[in-house]
Amino acid sequence: MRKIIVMTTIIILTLVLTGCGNGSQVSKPNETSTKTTQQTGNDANQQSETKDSTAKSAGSSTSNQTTGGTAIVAKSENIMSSRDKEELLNQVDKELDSLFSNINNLEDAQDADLDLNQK
Amino acid sequence: MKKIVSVILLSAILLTGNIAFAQGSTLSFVKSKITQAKADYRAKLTEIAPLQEKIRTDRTKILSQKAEARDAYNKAKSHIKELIKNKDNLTPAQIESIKEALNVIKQDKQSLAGTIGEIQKETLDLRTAKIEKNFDEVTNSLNSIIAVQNARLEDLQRTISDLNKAANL
Repeated sequence: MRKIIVMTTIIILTLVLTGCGNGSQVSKPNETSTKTTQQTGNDANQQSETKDSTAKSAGSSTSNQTTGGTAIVAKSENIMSSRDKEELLNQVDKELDSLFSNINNLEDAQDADLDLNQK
Repeated sequence: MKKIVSVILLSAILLTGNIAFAQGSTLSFVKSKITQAKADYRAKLTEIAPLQEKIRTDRTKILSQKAEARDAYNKAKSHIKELIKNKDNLTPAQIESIKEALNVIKQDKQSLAGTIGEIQKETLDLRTAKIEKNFDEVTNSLNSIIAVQNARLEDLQRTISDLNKAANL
């Protein structure tokens, strides 16, 4: 009976000390707020664009978390994608055309209308 | 019998004289009326002339501003095309400026659209007033045209400024 108690205690102590998880595992960032790009080694300087539906204000903020040789770049996203930028500029271009069309459509009073002797 | 003939002749002479006198006085009355009407017409023309001149001057200014707006538009278009080519180099601040420019351009467009057709409508009213010789209506129409022109001059000036800003985003 004593042996069983001693063995159980040893097993429990071993489990407590070694832990249940993997020591090299990295905790995941908040999945609901951002998508993250994982980069390793020398690629840490490169930034990739990620989307965040909750971020509205201008500018961007980044947070780096390094564990061992792995760098995680969590980026709150409010930078437009290349496609969105082109779309915005195309919209400006279209509005410019529309504005110019309105300028050309401004009609004038003719001299014949101003002359009271002409009907 | 001689008396009767004499009375008839005398009556005829008197009647003819009266008619001639009446005709003469009517003619002078009509002549004075015509003279008065001509004087009134000249007075009205004198009153209206500065309005007509103002419309002509404003029309020249508007044409000049349209030409200026065309240049600013071409510059803005070229710049936007350049930005599209180099879209990946846009800074967040530039993007914000572009968004603001887009809103401003939309407002300018709406503002200008608000007066399209207004002068044409006033011109039609003016023609009717001219046919009816209604000088008060003529004056009203001319003043309305001037009001529309003034609104356009302001809109065009603001549009030119905004287009120049868009050309330097």
